[in-house]
Amino acid sequence: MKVQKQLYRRLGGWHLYTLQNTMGFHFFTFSFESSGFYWAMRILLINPPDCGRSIPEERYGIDSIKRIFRGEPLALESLAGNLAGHDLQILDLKSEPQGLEACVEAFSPELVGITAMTCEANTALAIASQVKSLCAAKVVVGGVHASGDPSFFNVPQVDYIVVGLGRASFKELADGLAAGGAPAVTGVAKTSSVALKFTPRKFTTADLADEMPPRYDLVEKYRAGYAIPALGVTMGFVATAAGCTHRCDFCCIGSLTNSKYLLHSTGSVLRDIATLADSVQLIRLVDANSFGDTLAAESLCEKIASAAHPVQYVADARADTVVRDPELFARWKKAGLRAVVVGFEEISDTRLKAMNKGSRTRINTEAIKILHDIGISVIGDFIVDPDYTPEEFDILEDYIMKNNVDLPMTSILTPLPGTALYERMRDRITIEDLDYYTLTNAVVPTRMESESFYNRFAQLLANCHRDARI
Amino acid sequence: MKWEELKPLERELSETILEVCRFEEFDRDSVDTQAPLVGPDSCFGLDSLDMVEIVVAIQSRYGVHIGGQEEARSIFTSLSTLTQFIGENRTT
Ligand code: B12
Ligand code: SF4
Repeated sequence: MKVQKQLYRRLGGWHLYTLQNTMGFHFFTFSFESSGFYWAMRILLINPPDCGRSIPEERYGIDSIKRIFRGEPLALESLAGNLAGHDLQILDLKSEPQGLEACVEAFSPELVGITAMTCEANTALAIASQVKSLCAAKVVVGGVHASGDPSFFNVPQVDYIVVGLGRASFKELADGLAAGGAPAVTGVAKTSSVALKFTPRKFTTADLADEMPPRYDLVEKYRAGYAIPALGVTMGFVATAAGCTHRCDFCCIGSLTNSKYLLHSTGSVLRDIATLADSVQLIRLVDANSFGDTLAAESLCEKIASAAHPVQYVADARADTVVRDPELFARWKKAGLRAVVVGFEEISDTRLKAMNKGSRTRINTEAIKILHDIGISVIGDFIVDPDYTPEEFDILEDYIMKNNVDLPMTSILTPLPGTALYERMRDRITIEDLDYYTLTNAVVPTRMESESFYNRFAQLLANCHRDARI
Repeated sequence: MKWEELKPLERELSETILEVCRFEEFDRDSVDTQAPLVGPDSCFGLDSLDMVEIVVAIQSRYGVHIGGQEEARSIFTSLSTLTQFIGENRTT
């Protein structure tokens, strides 16, 4: 048996000793911290496989509505980054769909964290059950669905639910469990047979834990697959902000931060970009809104430009931000911004207002023009309301074509649990099965006859994607 | 101020604002050239999103260029500052 000593630098400084047997398997680990002593745990973080079901495919054989490309599970890398001292693994079932059993058996985790979007929520529960059948690990679920509708996960195969940003709260939970306790942590709900109770967390930049970098290395074996095959580029993810400045009624982002907009420090963003820059060609800034604070975006842009990494960037911006500050985007273009994802959502001012979008069609159109003039590609998100008539589909298609949106991304208006839209539409919901909440299914009745609606939706995608590029 | 007492460019800009923001039943005699153009004291009742729409319309109508938020804010201080800016910079 050999004893490895790794020295981590952190406030106060502490040592981690990892004991391995001759086969290289981790035997047990323990940590001394200035504040105390705890057993380090084997923590497995799981990204669910590609999932979700399709009404158009199941009912009408329309199988052209697919939009999956692979990206790294930044949420898990980011959680792992703040769990120094524990023994960590990430299992990306999107890259390795059959890997669960072998991984759990080999690693024998004591704590398992699962991330899930809404369409992955049922799968996350299935994974939790399988984990429980294979080992005695405690199971924690977090991510966007757990944040919007925590009570969904209040089931026996789940032990804890992390609501909102998880870097700090999950660390508190893991350290507490490692020390042998059952810690009460704000933003973390312990599941129970009665209604879920927990103290919501007041999120601040401390929850971003910027001093601890994401563990990009934990997905090294999957990295070659994180790519956009159609463009032939490899892609990495970096976060510059959490939450959003706005409150669109269909959007679930607010539940992650309790509606706050929090910026990562410029230093941590530059550090993460530098980590990825040698291994990827494109960096996707995965924030819901990377330009919510234009002064900060300006300063970040300057520093990214001086770092001069040979990578390009894709980021999300609001149309009104582009129109308010075109020069900011001109500078970002020089720093390597290749494409901007803009949530135009609708082409009717009345519907934009009802969504509380805080933009208008004229502003959206101007944003496209400005970005094109600068030479930035526009990836435009549009939402088709299940109430659409054939004429409205035509108007939307016409708008997308006329304005040369480089890569239109159309989804179907979906009341995601935890959003204001959900409250507004809940009486109309006819499909409750979250497998269908992929934003490509109508979960309320369509005004048009159902098959015609999906045929027109598929045709819209096909027509708009014919000349797509970024 | 009475509508007729406004300068021609002030009237023209007021019409543009009303048209862009689709204010159909506006009392034109209530225009105050010195009042803030945007915000709670705006005589037009404009919010910051209206301002973005007006910037777009005015740039294309008068061939002017408004670079960023700060510049827009100072130009849009009042109808009077907007009129002065357009008067001095219009290319069409
Ligand atoms: C990157 C991304 C992807 C990547 C996912 C990469 C991966 N994980 O494998 C790809 C491209 C594959 C993808 C696919 C889809 N996506 Co997506 N995606 C995003 C995006 C842009 C960023 C997510 C991210 O990495 N954020 C950065 C990390 C650090 O933040 P985070 O995920 O919020 O994680 C923090 C907390 O949530 C929490 N947390 C998260 N997980 C866990 C787990 C544990 C155990 C704990 C303790 C805490 C915790 O702690 C983290 C750190 O603070 C978001 C939009 C956004 N800006 O959030 C949409 C988003 C998550 N996607 C969305 C959707 C709809 C989809 C698709 C269904 C799209 C489609 N129609 O095909 C598919 C689903 C794929 C599938 N399962 O089949 C929606 C989800 C809405 C919802 N409520 O479900 C979002 C919110 C976009 C939107 N505004 O609508 N997506
Ligand atoms: S601007 Fe985008 S991220 Fe922000 S609330 Fe609206 S849809 Fe969500």
